Order: sequence, then C-alpha cells, then structure tokens
Amino acid sequence: MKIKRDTNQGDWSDLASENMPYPRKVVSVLDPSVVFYFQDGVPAFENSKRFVVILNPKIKPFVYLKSLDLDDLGFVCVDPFLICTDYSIRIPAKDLSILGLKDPAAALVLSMVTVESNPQDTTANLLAPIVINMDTRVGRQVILDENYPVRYRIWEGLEAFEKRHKNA
Amino acid sequence: MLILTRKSDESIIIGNDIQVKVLKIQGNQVHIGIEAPRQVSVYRQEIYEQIRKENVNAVQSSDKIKNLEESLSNLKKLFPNKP
Repeated sequence: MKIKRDTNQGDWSDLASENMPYPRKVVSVLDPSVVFYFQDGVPAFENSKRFVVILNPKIKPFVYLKSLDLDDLGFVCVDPFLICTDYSIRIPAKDLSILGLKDPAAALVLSMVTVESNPQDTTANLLAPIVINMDTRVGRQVILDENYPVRYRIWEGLEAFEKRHKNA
Repeated sequence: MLILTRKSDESIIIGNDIQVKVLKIQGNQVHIGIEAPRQVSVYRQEIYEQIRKENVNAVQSSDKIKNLEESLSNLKKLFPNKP
C-alpha cells in the first residue's frame, strides 16, 4: 500500500503562525485516552506495547508519543509529509497485515524526531515511520524497503520548501 | 553457533514454521528466501540495529518536555515568517 502526502494538510509556511493546525489526522486522535496498541513495541523497547499521542501547543507541529508501559519513555514525532514533501512510502504486506490496514486514509504516519541541542541538527527518522491504523488503533514502527535516511535533517526539508516557495 | 552446509535450493527449518531457503549464490552474494508466520518480523540486521540505535537516541522523557519546548521554540524561530 502506497501512502503519499495529503495536500489538504498544512505545510511549513504556516508554522510561524499561532494558528498552524496539527495535521487533520493528528487532530482526530486529540483525546489522550485513546490508546494505541503496538504488539511488538518498537525496536529497543519491545516491552512497551501501549502508546498515547499527546498534543502540546507549545511543541506543535510536533506531537509526543508516550508509552504507558515504560516510565519516561516517549518520542517526539512529526508528520513526515510536512518536512519532506516528496515523501512517499510503500508499507510492506506483512506490516499491513499486522496493522489490519485496508484504507490508506486510515493511516496516521509519524516520524520519530531526534532533538539535538542545536536545532538545525534536529533529525527525523524517515526510514522507520510509526504507522497507526486509526480504525483499529493498532500501531507499528514500519521499517521501509525504500532508501530513506534514518537521520533526515528537518532543516534541509525546510530549505527545500523555501526554494520551491520562492520559485512558485 | 550451529553451522549447516546448504546448496542452492536447499532449506533449513527453524521451529516448525520458519523456513529459510538458499535461492541463489552469486559471487559473494547469497539470495535467501524466508517463510515465517505473520507475527515473526524479518529484517536485515544492520538496518534493524540502526533503527534500534536511533530509537534510543530519540527518547525524550516527559519530564524533559520543558527543555524540549525551549529547544523547539528555538527551532521555530529559525523558520521564516511568510509575509
């Protein structure tokens, strides 16, 4: 199953604005009582099976994926389609079957972000996105067969966007 | 480590439901086919290790969220304002 950017979502140009919305799909999981089940946890944290997505206006458009099973385990995530507009992924059949995913529109795709002290060095993991089936509330970190970087510099995505914007 | 010798088209069985088959040997490359139940994930080891490592790097505990807010507000300051 292929998943591409949904052009109805906001882009970086709105980021400086206070009204910058979270992507539509993220907003629909606003309620932190909605628990997502990861049968295999995530690599390195296999025992953490239950996660919630927390929205915090101070960190938007980033969201916080928090474990309910391991104290202090959480990840900052971002919609990868916001930071890499050409991003397009094909979810392997095995992952689709575990997720029970039949409709691409039900998929919420998030990239884990490694926050560095120098903001320009902040990266997002495009090779292994978190994919959540919003219908079944099952999630999984999917390791793609595509050749995307594990450490994609968010800054570069922004620069590319700026360039496009100027040329438009 | 158990060491078995296999030729092209020969397999090994792990447990009762995982089959690992040598499909083709070409120079220093071996093509391997794996049949495993749905709940068993199969990855190239170096890729899997890389993902594990990056997951560990990416962990942000919720008590560090304050630092994070600062860090991210710095990040946002770098984003240009659209006229």
